[in-house]
Amino acid sequence: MNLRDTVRTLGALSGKWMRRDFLSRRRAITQLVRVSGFSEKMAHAMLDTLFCELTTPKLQTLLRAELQSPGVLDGFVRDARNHRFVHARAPENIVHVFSSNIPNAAITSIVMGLLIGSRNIAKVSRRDEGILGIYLDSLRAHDPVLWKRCAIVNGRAEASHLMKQAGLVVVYGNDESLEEIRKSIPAKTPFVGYGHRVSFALILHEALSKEGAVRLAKKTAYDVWMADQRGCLSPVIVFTQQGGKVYPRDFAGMVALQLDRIEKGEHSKPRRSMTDTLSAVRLRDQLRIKALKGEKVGYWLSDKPGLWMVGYDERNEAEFSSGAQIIRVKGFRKLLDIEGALQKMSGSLQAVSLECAPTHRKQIAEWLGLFGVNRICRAGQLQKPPITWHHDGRLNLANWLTWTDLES
Amino acid sequence: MPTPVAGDVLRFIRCYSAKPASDSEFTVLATRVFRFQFENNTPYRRFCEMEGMTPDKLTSWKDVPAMPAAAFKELTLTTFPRIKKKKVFKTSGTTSEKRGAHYFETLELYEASILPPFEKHVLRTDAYVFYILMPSAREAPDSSLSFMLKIVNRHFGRGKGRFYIQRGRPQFESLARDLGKERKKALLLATAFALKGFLDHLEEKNLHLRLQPGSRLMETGGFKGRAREVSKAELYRLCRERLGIRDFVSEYGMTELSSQYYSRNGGPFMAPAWMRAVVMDPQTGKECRSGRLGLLKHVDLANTGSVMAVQTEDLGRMKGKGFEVVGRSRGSEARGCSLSYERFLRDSQ
Repeated sequence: MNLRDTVRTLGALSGKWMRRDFLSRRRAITQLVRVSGFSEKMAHAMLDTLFCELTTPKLQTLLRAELQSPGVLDGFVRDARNHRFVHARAPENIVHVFSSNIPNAAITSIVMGLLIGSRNIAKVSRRDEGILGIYLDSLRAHDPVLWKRCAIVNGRAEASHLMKQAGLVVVYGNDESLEEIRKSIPAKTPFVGYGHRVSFALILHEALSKEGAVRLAKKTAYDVWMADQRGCLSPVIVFTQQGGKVYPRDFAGMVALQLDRIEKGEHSKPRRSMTDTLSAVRLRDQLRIKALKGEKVGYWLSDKPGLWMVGYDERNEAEFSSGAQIIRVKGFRKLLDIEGALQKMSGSLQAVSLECAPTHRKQIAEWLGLFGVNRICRAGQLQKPPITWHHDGRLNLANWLTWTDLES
Repeated sequence: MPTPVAGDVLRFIRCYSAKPASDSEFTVLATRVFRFQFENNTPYRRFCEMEGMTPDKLTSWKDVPAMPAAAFKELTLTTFPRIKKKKVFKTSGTTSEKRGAHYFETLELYEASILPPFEKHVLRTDAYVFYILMPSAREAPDSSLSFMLKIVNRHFGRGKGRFYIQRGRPQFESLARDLGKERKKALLLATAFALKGFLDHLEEKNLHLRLQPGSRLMETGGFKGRAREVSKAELYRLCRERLGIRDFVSEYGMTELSSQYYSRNGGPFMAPAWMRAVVMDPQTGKECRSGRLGLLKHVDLANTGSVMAVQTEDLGRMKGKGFEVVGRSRGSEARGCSLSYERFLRDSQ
């Protein structure tokens, strides 16, 4: 199958997945709710976000963005900027290793492998959520030829054996797993690892107008809510500058109110573990103790116990919530005040939703880039990265290929 | 006694040292202690106000607002001016961590509360020789556990018990040698972590000691999240195998409390009459239904000079007339791609 047909086939399948009555989608929603513990609304939002980036035009855009001319996959193509010819060869076999946090990365990764014409073997987590399996079932019904280029393995030994023969190993997981796998494969096997990352929101005082604050709180709450704070694009802290029309502590209260509204509109509730609940209890206790010491703090809890928590304080520290939907809002005076916190997170930062005056935007983006931030977007967009995003700050497809340059 | 309330608590301890107190008797004194602490402990009063509780509203000891144990690290929780402190016990911790501090104006109540439950659950006679795998009170002057051991050693060990952690190092070889020579019944007192180290030492040296029948172990302290954690059942099994001990007592205490719970041979932890435990539902903040897992809250009347109700991060459930400890809440693991704060701190060090 040629590249154009692959793009069209995958794009058409995404179109099916975007229909609420598509059987595979309904199976996936059930799986995400029952097994993974997302709410139904979250599950729908995640699948919508995923498949609207995997349509035919979006996949074509991705190929153009990364390869300039998709023809490079078929043979030498002239690179006008460098006066040379380039040809990119895809690995015959790619072994993808997935963690079980959110399903989007797994499906996107397989789609990219299919785009470049590789055979894809996916090693899913022991706590597999089964979504990739459902997607591949739908691919089998949609295009059995393309489906034959994919396989799922569960066993560690089998995956380990396959990785030794792979043309490329792509791993999503924590830093320890990445390191362990990288050491276990031959030194010359290309390896791409997507490790632990965190994201945050940064709101400057000029964005906190009385009219805009409610809208902003709604968007921030959406970013917190959507992937149940399980992914690298979930904001773990909302840094909020003092000096606007709305005080940061009041803004934290607004975020809490919006989380409450989102939650009330849901038919099913996200599942909470005991450890999530205990994280919230610990944070609440920390904040109460800070209050007794005279610090400006605040906390808000969901009406139904244990669903979410917003905590506010003014310590410029890199403190993360480690439970689902526990969000820290931190008030600060000057950007310099939070530099130490960003420095501490440097190297593990992913995305920032930035709200500030348009005139400052580029300058602040430059500053954030110094700490390794690789994506800066508006509030409400954190969970909706475009397919062309430089994930972990690198090219995606182009990085998976082996390039040959023919100089004139 | 520095205050009339402390005098009342001391009389209560003496009166009920060998018999149980009813819930209403406990509540009456708890209400007095609560009023005293509300009036004299400023941070605690502010905490109670945050919780919406005042002495006039209190109807049961279970409703006394419990200060999170972590507050002992951040606040001075006393009913007396700090300058009048006679003793301070500190929680364990690394040099980079803040340590919790429990201040005492007098140790009379503290000492009075140690002996009766120890006598009831651990030993009634002085026929045992004490082997203590912990530092002495001289070596660890701010350890409440070492202080407690000093008291029980004085009363039940005729002051002759030896401490086998010296200058911070466990003396496994000399402990094994001394235990091997012992012809009387031995009481081995150890933290679970140190005991595991000792058992590993015996295994490494391929030693099987046979202590006199009736010899006993009192372990305490748990593992506090250390990597070498083993279950209590496994620890007891190893003690039977390597030491020949068949009688086990587990002690549960905290620097933030003045009294201790004891469990015999894996049974539930039992409280003395002046102390109560309740399991709280972390989601609702209310008492859990019996048998459900939750966070342990302790109400210790002997904590007269600080706060009598302490909320722990220990997970447990009520069992019989006592409770069992299931583990310590460590909060969530890192979720998805998110790093936990602790992990970040570790990585950035």
